[in-house]
Parts: sequence; C-alpha cells; structure tokens
Amino acid sequence: MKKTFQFVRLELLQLFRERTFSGLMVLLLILMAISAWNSSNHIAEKEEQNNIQQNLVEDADKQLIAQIDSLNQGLASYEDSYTLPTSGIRLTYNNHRIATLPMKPFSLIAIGQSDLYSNYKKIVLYYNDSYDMDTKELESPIEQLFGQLDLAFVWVYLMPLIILLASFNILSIERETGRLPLIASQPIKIWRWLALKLGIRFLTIIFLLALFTFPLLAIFQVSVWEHWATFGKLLLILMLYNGFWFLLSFLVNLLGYTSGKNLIILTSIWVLFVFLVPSTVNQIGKKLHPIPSRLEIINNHQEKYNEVEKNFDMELKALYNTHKDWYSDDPATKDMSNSTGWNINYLAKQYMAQLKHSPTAQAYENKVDSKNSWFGKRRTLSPAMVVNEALTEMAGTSTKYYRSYLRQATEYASAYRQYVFKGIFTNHAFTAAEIKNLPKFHFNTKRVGNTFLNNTYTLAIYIITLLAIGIVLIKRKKLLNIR
Amino acid sequence: MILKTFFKESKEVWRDGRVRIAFAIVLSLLGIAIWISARQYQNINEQHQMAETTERAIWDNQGEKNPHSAAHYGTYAFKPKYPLSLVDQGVDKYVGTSIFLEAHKRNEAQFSAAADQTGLARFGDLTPDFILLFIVPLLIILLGYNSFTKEREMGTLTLLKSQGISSWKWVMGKWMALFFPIFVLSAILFLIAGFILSNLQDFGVFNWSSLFTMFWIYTGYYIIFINIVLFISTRVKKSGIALVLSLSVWILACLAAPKAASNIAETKYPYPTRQEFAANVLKDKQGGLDGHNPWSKESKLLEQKVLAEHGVDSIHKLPFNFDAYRMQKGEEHEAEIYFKHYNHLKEQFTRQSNVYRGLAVVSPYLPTRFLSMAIAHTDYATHWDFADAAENYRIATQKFLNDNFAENSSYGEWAYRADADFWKELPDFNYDPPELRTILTNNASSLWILGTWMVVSFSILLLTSKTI
Repeated sequence: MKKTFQFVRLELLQLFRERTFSGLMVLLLILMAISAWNSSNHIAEKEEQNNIQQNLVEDADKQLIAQIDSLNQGLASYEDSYTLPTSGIRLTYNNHRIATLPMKPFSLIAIGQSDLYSNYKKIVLYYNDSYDMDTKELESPIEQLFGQLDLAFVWVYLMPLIILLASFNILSIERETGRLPLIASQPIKIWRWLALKLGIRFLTIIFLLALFTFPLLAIFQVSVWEHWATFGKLLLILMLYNGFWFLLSFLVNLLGYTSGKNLIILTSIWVLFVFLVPSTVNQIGKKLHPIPSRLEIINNHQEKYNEVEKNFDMELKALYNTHKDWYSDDPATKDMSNSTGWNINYLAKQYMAQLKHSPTAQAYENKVDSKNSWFGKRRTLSPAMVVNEALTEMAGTSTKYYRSYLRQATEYASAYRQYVFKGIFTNHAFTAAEIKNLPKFHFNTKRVGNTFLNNTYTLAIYIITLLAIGIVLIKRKKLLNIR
Repeated sequence: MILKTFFKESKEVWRDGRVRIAFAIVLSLLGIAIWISARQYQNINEQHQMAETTERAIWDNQGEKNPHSAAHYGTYAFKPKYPLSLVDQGVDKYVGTSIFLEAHKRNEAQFSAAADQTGLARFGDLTPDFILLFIVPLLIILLGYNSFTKEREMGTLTLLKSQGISSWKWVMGKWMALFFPIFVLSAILFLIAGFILSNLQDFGVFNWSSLFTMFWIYTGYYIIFINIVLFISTRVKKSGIALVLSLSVWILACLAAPKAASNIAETKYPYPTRQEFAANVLKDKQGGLDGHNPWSKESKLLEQKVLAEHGVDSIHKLPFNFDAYRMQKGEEHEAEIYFKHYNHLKEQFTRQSNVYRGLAVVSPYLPTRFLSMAIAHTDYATHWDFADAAENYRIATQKFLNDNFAENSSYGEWAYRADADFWKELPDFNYDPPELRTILTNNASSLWILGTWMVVSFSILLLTSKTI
C-alpha cells in the first residue's frame, strides 16, 4: 500500500513536470473557456429575444386593456374593427400570443440544434399549423454548416484526442528508450504498471476537467449548487466517455506496437467513432427511412384550402354544426363588405383548411419522429454519439426537445383558437377581464422524455467490453510482446 | 533521381498493409457516398418536379376568384437541385427549399432539412464532400507523416546524405510519391461522379467543365496538405511527433478554424434577430402606404393625387378600381421596404464573407469549401440569388393580379371574380443559377488565397529542404 502510494506520488510529480501533459491541460482549459464564452453569448441572445417577445405581448395586452377601459368610460372612439379594442379582429391582428421555450440551466454545455430553432413562437389566429413545426432563427447557414464552438465540441471531439496524445506511448516509449527490461525486473506485472500509470492520468484529467468546468459554469452564471444533480450527471457521463478512451489506449498499449503505430491505431479509432460511424449511420438512415418532401405538405394545404373555398357555404354550415356556439345571427358577421364579416370568413376558411390538412401534416410529423427515433437507437453504435445526445439533452438543445416544444406550442395554439373563436365569430365585445385571462403557454419538460440512464448504460457496456478484451489480452500475454 | 525516389517510395507505400487497407476503406466509403448521394439526388429531384407541377395545377385550377384573394392564397417558388450538389451539398440542408409568395410580404425559404434531423446530423453525412474535405487529407497524413522521419529513425538519412543527393530532388521524389495516389484516387471519384451525373435523365444540365474545375480545386487543396505534411516530416525527428503535429494542423484547419471563423464573423457582423428584423420592417411599413387601409394619411394623399391626375372629384369616377390601384401601390411600397432590409442582411453576409476570406490564411479548408459549394450551386450566394429571383417573381405576380382587379372592376366591387382561366396566364417561375465564369469571378479572392497557399507552402517545403 505504501509502495503504491509512493508510486502514485512520484507518477503525479512526473506527470506535472511533463511539458506535453501540462501543455495539453492548458490547451484544454483555453478551449473550454473560449467555448463557454461563445455559448454564453449565444444563450444570452436567445434569452433576450424571449424576454423581448414576452414583453411585446404583455405591453400590447396592457395597451389593449387600457383602451377597453377608455372606451367603456366613453373617453375614446374608434372607426373600424381593426382598431376597436373590444373587437376580435383587433385581437386577431394586433395581439398575438407567444410560446417561449426557456433555456435550461445547463444550456451552456451544448449549443446543439438551438442555432437552427427559435426559442419563441408567435401564436396567431390566422395561421396554418403545419408550418408551426418550422421555426427558424435568422442566422447564416454557413455558421450552421461549420457548427459552433461549444463545450460539447471540446468534450466529444477534442477531449479523446487530448487523452490519446497523453497516453498513446506510455509503454512503447519505455521499450523504445530501452527502459522496459528495468521495469520488467520490478515486482509488478507490466499490465498492472501500465494500468496504474493510465489510471493516475485518467483520474488527474477527470479531476482537472471537474476543476475547470465548475468555475467556468459558475462564471457564466450557471447555478451549479442549485443543480448539483445535473452537474453530477454531467461528470458521470464525461468520466465514462473519457474512461472509454483511456481503456482503449490501455489496450492498444498492451498490444506492444511502436509509438507511431499506437498513435495511428488510436487516431483511426477516433476517426471511426467520431466521424465515420455517425456519418454512415446518417446516410444509411436517410436511405432506410426516406421522409417525403415537405413540398407535398405544401401542396396538400393548398389543395385543402381550395376545396374549402370552392364549397365554402357547405363547409361553413358544417363548421357551425360542430361548433354551435360559434354561430351568430348578427348581420355584421355575414356582411363581406365590412371588415368583421370579411375576416370571420377568412379565419373560418383558414381554420377549416387547417382541420382538413392536419391528418396529412400529422402523418408527416409522425414519420419524422419515427425516423428520429431510429437514429436515436443507432446512437449506441458510437460512444461519441451517445455523449452528444446526453449533453444536448442536459442542455435542452436536442431536436427531440425542440420538437416537443413545437408540438406543445401547436397544441396551445389550437386551444387558444378554440377559446377565442367563439367570441370572434359571434362578434362579441371582448372585456378587459377576458383579455387578462387569455390562455398562456407553459412548456412541460416531462413530456420530452429522458435518456440519461440509457446513455449511461451504453457507455458502461462499452467500458465493460473493453475490460473484457483487456482481460483476454492479458491472459494471452504471449501475444502482447511485453516480455 | 526524382523518378527513382518516386518509384522506391511508391513501392514502399504500396507494400505497407495499413496503406492498402486505408486506400480500400476510403475508396469503398467514396463509392457508398456517391451511390447513396446519387439516389437521394434523384429522389429529391423527382419530389421537386412533382411539387412544382402539382403547385402549378393548384394555382391554375383555383376557379373564379377575386385576384386579391388569389394573392393571399399565394403560390410557391421551389429551389431546384443542381447536378453537382451530388458532390458538394453545401448549405442546402440548412436553407429551405421553397418560398411562399403571397401579397404584402416577402417570406424566406421554409423547411430546412437539418431541422427535421436529430443532432446526429451535425456530425456530418457520408457524402462525397465529407470524404473529399475531411477524410482524404487524413489519408495524406497517414501516407506521408513519416516520409522523412523514417529515414532518420532507420539511420538511412546519414547514408543518403553521404551519397551527395540533391535535397530538392529527393523531396520532389517523395512529394510525387505522395501526390500520385491521391491524384489517382480523386480522379477516379470525379470520373465516376461525372459518369453518373451525365447519365441522369431530365435533372438539370450537367456541365463537365464545372466538374473539372472542382476537381482542380480539390487537387490544389490536397497539394497544400501534402506540402504541410512533408514539411513537418522534414523538420521533426520522430514519426510520432510528426503524426501529432500533422493531425493538429488537420484539426485546426478542418475543424477548429471554420467554427472559429463563423463565430468571429457572427460576433463582428451579426445578423439582426428575427424579432428585430420583423420589428424594423413593421416600423417602415407603418410609416408608409398600407394597401388594405383606406383611412390612413398616406391613402388619403394617394387618393388626392390620383384624383388630381385624372381630373375627377370622386374615386368612383376613376376608369379603374381604386381599391386595386391602392393595393398595387401598397405592394410597391412594401417591396421597397423588404428590398432595403434584405439588402442590409446581404451587406452583413458580404462582410461576414470577408471575415472568412481573411481567416482562410490559417486554413486552406475555407477557400476550398467556399469554391466547391459555389461551383456546385449549393453556397449561400446562390441561395440569395434564388431568393431575389423569387421576390422579383412575387412582385410581378402581385402586379399581374392587382392590374386585373383594377382594370375589370369598379371601386368597392370586392365581389369581383376573375375568370377561371385567368390564372393560367401567369408566367411560370424560372430560375437560372450563375454561370461557371461568373462564379469564378465572384470567388476570385478564394482562388487567389488557395493559389497563394499552394505556392507559399510548396516554396517553404523546397527552400527548407536544404537543411534536412
């Protein structure tokens, strides 16, 4: 025990004296700091946009309520239904709702798909829901093509390389410098000696990683103490992923090749797991699960709208049969020459076309979900994909997260329409209390699902497999070229 | 001397089992990538043609309708897919493929494919451009990292020097031995791609000269990597270190620099947020003529002006429908606003492009990527060009509809219906992307940067060869 402790102490001393190792750690810190700074800017911008959108809606509502009060007190008069504060038409065009997706506390760790999606969605009454699943931010596609520099990129892509560079020649360098016989003469098996050396490096790197991550998150205003469980999960995932690469390096070292050959083997495995497997899965997935073009949905919506327009009287009758409380005898609701009648007509057409179109739109979205689910299962083919999924899930920036948000926003839009259409279609004068009580959007994170355990098990299986291979290799040590 | 070194090195490379395996893997990956991409390309084009035909039929068969209702009903402009997008898919999956053309509003392309995919898609697709831009440079590193270090490690360097060899000829021999297999590999790929593309029926005009230009650009990119890898190998003593350094250059050039460049470009010249953009457009719109609002100050001014021009005292006495006329004037005003705001976006895009060009000094990947995308018509500039063409078509469509409304109805006659056959008179939307010559002129700076990279890296390799 005492000897092991002494070995660890000496190894640590040697490790921090090694320029390569210290250099790699400094590089890691710099990369993490730049990435965290970049992500924090991205998040700050998103949060600011959410606040602006929320404030716009609240301010417009306050103004509307104030105008309703003025109208009720006889202090103001209005020319038409576009400006009349109690009018449903005014509500339709001037007072939209907003569905915002708040950033998660750990958004900083992975930008993920958040550069493709917007975190707010305007909910309007004259809108087609099939388009609700398409919400893009105004960003350069070149930026999206090249991707963002975030902590996930450093951890998933670069961290394995740093580990490989810090460990590829642990055993081979001893052989190449002629020190291996000296080590072999010590009362410790070479594989144990190698495992101990790599183990110390692994623990040191994990310790430094935690040491760098904690203050970085704190600096960029992530309340780590408050969300200690998520931080723990993050460390566990990183520990397993880095452990995988250290184990891989251990096995390759055991094979007893030269330093150059070790590095080539390890780099090839890195290329395989980080580039080739994900890109091949992507391409095969697209081939096996082709998604019909969105253009078909566009065509379908246009066709349905045409159908509604052609048989409008019949369709409107059917609508009022379904929603009897939407019908009114008020002549203004039927007079196409005034804005009230015209807009009721227009909203009814939109609503009916949307109802007819929604099965097609839903079928499309289901296909996208089933394709994404296929991809989700295939992530287990590469630990890099598993970690990427785990990080974007913790950050709330995965496609699954955004699609759940958009689905919830669509449901909210539908509920909102049902709520206000009765008033609009019957030319009801909206009161201040009704405006205050309009339904609000709340995002339910529980509906997204959680794959943390799955990801952890998958990484653990990778590690167990490597351990098993290691045991086999050690037992057949003649193959190892160690002595 | 050069040829002897070339033959000796080529034999050595070919005898190495790792190299043969690596070559076989890269070739198979390329084969799979081309095959899958060709099938997808065909599939997408079929969908595109069908959507375009269906959309036109829907437009033509609207039946009797008020032209302004038809303007709101709208139509779509679909972005065509071009043959060389099989080789480089560029930003296609991040920009939408269809633009909704409606009254009063310029829309952007909708439905980017990337938004429908999982985060896995951000790892990249196994497409020809992925192999050409990322994997082939890795193959160059694998083939060449120990070209000179092995001579040191085996002790043959001293032996060779004692023979009085010419350093530059020796370097040239090794350079050729590294260049030749890469050249052959990429030539095979481009020939296969050319063969497939020229045999695809009815899907755009395939241009061999564009494919050859692309091939030479990639050849230039590989020459730069060969120069860098060999230079590193001449300077360091151990193969392991040469490999680490070469890999670091690859990571810097292909992974880190593009990400850093896009972050710098966005930080320095940010796009407005969607909210800011929409608010600015709305503000300008509210300050001008709204075709739907006859009560506004601008509408009243327009009314007075038109009445004076026609010498009448009531809009009912005008020889056309003033509602439709006002609608058209409103469209023209709104089109100007959109033109102004989209021009601002374009200016930001141009400034961002300059940042990318500036940072191409640290990464030959950047000019290669931009040139490749531009030739394949999958770059951002082509997308802008398409969006502008769609906007011009939208403006022309609105005029076509408003003119019919104005000429065939009287003021207040919102019940007017255009004839069911009228919609067929609207010309089809056609978009022709820029020619190869124009593309090369527009991207001359990228060509210069790539050329400079080649010349400088080659000169450094040769000039420093004396001190090996």
